[in-house]
Amino acid sequence: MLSAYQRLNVAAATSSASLLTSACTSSAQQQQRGLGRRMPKQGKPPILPPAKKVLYHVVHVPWQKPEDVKELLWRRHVYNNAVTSLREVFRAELQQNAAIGKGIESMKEAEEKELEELISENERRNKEKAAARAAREEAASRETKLTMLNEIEETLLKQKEAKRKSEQEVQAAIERSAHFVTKDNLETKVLAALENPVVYDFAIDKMGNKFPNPMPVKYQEGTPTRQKGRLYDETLGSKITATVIENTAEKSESSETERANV
Amino acid sequence: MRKLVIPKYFGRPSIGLALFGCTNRPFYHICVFPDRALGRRYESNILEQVGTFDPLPNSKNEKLVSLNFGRLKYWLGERNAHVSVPVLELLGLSGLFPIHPKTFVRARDNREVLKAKEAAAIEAASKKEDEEVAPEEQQSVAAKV
Repeated sequence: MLSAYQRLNVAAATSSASLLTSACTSSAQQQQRGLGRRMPKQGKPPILPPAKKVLYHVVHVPWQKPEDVKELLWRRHVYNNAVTSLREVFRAELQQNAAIGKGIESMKEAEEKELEELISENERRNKEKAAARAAREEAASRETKLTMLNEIEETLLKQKEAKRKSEQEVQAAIERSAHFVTKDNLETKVLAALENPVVYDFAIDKMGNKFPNPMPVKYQEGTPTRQKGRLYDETLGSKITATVIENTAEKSESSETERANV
Repeated sequence: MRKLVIPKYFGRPSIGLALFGCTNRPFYHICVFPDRALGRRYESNILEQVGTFDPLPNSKNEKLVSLNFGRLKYWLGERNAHVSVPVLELLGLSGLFPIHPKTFVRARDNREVLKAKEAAAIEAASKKEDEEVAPEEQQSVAAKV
């Protein structure tokens, strides 16, 4: 024998197809019937009896003095009468105001009028401000354009100057490159260097005179001596050496220029 | 048969205080609620705010109340709104309505309390004087002896 729950399940299975088709269409109906996705109401399930706390709840009215109760009785009576008549008074007042033209309708009209006025005023001010803003922005843009153009000019001038400088450098380098040592002129340069040896073994005084000792020779003959002799005995700047110096000075200058070029 | 709403009062709005404060800072809006018969669930559906009430006294020892008399007159006269007792007391003090009976009673109670306090203070003062006078007498007596 099927229980009620199983029977319900069977019924649901048989009618599931029809339910599916109508599920999308009748969401509003579902909500009306309380079948939608909504939270259950808080509180006691209606099938349960009321709780004892609720069932046996007794309201304890705070105690009042008997004379207060007596006084409140007539005062309340008077008060309620007054309030009732005041309500009438207010109603009459409102009606009178409406008749005169101070009612809610007229107030609404007045407010609408005021609102329109305010809107028009606002638009006028907006236009004024827009015009002022346009003028201001135009002036600002002109100024900005000017500054930008100036900057561009400055940059172009700078670039021109840099170009000129670098061209000069390149020209100088090209000029200098005539003396450069390359693979082609390596032999001749080596020979020239051998022909014009440069010796830096000299003393120099404040005037720039150079005093080599011993005198440099182009081609070394024999074994060069280790001990160069008693140098401190020599009197530098004597006649013989001076003649030599001049020659050597000229030679050294030419060799230096060559070195620099290399 | 149980009626869901009382036909006599159905759709009758009520004017009351709505607590709008935060922790330790009560502040009330005087509001128009839809219908008391609908239950407390519908108290959140405020129709209109017609005033405010700040129950904490300010630096000048004043509890500030603001009321929109025009709208109150409309709700009271035209719509026959029910008004809660605290609001009735405020209306009485503001002068729109006569003073509420409860205000009279409370004022009398407060007066009595104040009187009792004053009497207690006077009594305490007189006691102090007596105590001050008594030792002096004792001292004078001792000097004579």
